Amino acid sequence: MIKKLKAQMQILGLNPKKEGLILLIFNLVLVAVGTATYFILKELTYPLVCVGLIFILNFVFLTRYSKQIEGKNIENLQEFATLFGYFRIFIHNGYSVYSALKELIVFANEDLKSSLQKLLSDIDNDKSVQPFIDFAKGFNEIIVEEMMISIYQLIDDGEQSDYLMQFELIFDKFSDLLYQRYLRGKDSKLGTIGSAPLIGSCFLIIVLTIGIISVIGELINGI
Amino acid sequence: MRKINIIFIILGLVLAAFCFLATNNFIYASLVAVIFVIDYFLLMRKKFTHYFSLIQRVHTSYHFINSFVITLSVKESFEEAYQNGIRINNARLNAETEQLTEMPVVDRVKYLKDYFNLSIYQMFLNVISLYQDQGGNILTMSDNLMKECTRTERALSDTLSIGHKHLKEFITLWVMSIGILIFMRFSLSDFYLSMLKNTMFSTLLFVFFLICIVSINLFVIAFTDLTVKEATK
Repeated sequence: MIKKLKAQMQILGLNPKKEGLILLIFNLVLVAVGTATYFILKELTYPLVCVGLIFILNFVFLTRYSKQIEGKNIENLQEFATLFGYFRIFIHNGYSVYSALKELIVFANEDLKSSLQKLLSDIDNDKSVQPFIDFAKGFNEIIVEEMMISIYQLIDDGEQSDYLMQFELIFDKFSDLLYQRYLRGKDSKLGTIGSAPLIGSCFLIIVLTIGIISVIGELINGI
Repeated sequence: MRKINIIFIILGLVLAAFCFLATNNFIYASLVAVIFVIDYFLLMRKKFTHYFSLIQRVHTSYHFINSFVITLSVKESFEEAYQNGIRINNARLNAETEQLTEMPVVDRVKYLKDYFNLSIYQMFLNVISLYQDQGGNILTMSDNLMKECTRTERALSDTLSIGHKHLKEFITLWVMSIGILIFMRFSLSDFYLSMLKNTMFSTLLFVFFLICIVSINLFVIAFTDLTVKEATK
């Protein structure tokens, strides 16, 4: 579990010691607040709320890394789609595969910039399809690998070949797939946040129940 | 943007008024107003500014690129293509272009890169400089560029319609939720006031309004998040 968390933090470029320290500080603050309220108000309710908050905080804090990695992967795929849309423009306008890939560096974000630079230096040393496959591995999508192979095929056969058509077909398919996925993601994200009022309503029902029970309790005690 | 500022300040005051009605506590109501307004000016406002600017830049750049390419292919004149491109009702673009009248036309087109600040415009400049160097048919050269522009426009409009659909649901559900609370406040009348004597009850009602503020914040972040690639610096 800890090893997995450390690996996730390293993927995101976070320092595990710093992250651990932040979580510890949050926990200590909540423990201090819980203890202080117990001694000041002589009531168990607030410390219990603090214990609940500690559980929620730890859960949210520790599960956010996997969500961030997932978000980063999606962001990289979208970046890839935009960049290879530009790649297509370069190829159509007479650029070679190598120079088109080189031109893409200007448009890329930091993550993809380094991947593209590595791809170009690998192509310099290895003329096989391997550098293209290695580049595609970073995206964990078979269709990206298909696209990179079709780009490799363009090197030998040039822009007028059937391989260009093949690349275009795969790119359009990939682009549509990603677009549909993006729309679904957006819909589901807004839907999830949009259901917050329902959580608010549930909370309100609990609060009203507490209020009603406390008044009834007082009435019974009064009798 | 001024309209949005006013709407959100009013929203903060309305939430505070409802909080006061529900808790009978002026401190809680003031806290709700202060937290909401600070949150808006520190976080949500930035998101909205970027959101509206991005939408405007995408629409304007799409119009500019489209008009420029078509006019250039017909008239083969950069000046006429540029003039057609900037013929759009956009105060900021007009202010930018008015300063550039002395410049050569290609420099004017390049200068607008900073205004649009979009990677698609950077790509358009690449196509234009290629056309200047090598010549050829600008329509064929920019065919895929136009496809990219259309893709961006379509993505933007689909994202907006999904956002608006969820915005309506979000507002309706919160109005109903707060409406129930206010209804209880007046229909239970004295019984409700005796519930309010319990500090825990009024504190939890205050927490309910905090949940509302946090959810508005999260919704604004998700709503204004658009995947349009801006230019790399």
